[in-house]
Amino acid sequence: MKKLLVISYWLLVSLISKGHPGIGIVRDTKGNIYYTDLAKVWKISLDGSKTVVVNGVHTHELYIDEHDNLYGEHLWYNGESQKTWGFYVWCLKNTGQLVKEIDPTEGFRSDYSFARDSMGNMYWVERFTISRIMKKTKSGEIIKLAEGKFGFIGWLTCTKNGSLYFTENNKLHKLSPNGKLETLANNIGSKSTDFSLMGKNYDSYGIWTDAADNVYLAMIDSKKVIRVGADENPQTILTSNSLWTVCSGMFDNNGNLWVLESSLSNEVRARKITKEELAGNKTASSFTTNPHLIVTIFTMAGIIFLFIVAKMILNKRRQKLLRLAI
Amino acid sequence: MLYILSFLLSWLSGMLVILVTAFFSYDQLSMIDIASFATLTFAGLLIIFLLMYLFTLRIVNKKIVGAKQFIYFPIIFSLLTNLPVYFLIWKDMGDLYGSSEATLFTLGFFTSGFVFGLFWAWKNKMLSQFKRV
Repeated sequence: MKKLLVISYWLLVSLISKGHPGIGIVRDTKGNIYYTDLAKVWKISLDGSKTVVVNGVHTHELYIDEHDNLYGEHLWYNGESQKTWGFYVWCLKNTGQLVKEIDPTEGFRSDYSFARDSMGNMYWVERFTISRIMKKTKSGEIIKLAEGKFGFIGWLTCTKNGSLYFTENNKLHKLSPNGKLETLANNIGSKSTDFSLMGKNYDSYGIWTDAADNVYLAMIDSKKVIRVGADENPQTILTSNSLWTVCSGMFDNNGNLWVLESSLSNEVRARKITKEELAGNKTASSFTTNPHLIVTIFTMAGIIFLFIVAKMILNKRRQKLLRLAI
Repeated sequence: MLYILSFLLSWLSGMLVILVTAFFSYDQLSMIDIASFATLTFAGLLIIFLLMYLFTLRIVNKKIVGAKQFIYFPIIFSLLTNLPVYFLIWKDMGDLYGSSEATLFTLGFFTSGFVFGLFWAWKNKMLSQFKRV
């Protein structure tokens, strides 16, 4: 009974709680992986051990520079009485020292971003009726890179050379360092776009690139990862478990894909997909090659068995009633 | 005994529909997927079985008699008695899970209710003539 109560409680909590998953997953020069679960920042060392490196920070994004200094923020709500938000930006130095880059401030970050190129320039999107893509150079100069009446622009990713990739509703765009804006794919959406965040229905969430500048998108509703390569044709490379959805990802030094996944109950995990697994794509496979078929057959057998047992019991009862009648 | 059997039969039927529908419309499920669906549908059905099915069954067994049970029982259990479950599933669809999972859960619970209704209509028919005798 206790177990039943625990399961019921968990079920209710999972159904009631809301999620806005993070996308922060980065690697340092040694190959250690860092990711956010929106409450802590975890480190997965090369030996596979997991440790918390920054505790008590609600950060959706992470950035790590070439010196292995890790950056993130802490965002909080001041409650219904004040109805204000606050944030600070922290940096975990490669020495292990945790310092505040930006002191606690009211509101949201406006001219500071975790999408950066190798020069340390920051990029962000100002989402209004007329949206703007902005850049802040290391010297502090703020430049408007693009402006236009876009649809909803999702997360932004930046390559080392400063090429920006972002989604706008069902399209994938690239903004080159020379300011050239091009559409790489016009139809990245999947069959469903029910996932709703900030009042916008869209499916694509985290966005990242590989060494060959292929763009990867976590399709949060259809629980898959698509790749848009040079042929501009979206290709599904990975599907996720039904209760886990890929929110973001990145490639390690060996070409393995690390995906950041969020569960139905808002748990977060980082999962490694080896390059061999990626090459042997999981999208299409035969009904006979996985447990699906076996479980289906056993389920059918279970139904038939239960039906036979029920019939036997009922027949016994009928005989008993008949004997009583006689 | 028949209550436990009807519960297990309903649950397995719901699971079967989830498995078959998932294969044809969504994707093949991994072992983790299947275990998750099985746990959630089992827990959900157990709760609604204890809170709603048994209570409704007691009422409809008295109110509806004869061959009509084969029509009304599946409808009542799959649609009316399952309403709280449908509400919970669709309420947070999109925020917590995609429409594909919500559809699978809904189909699973619909089938469970349908089979449960059919089972009790069948059981009543099997025993009714002898009870009359």
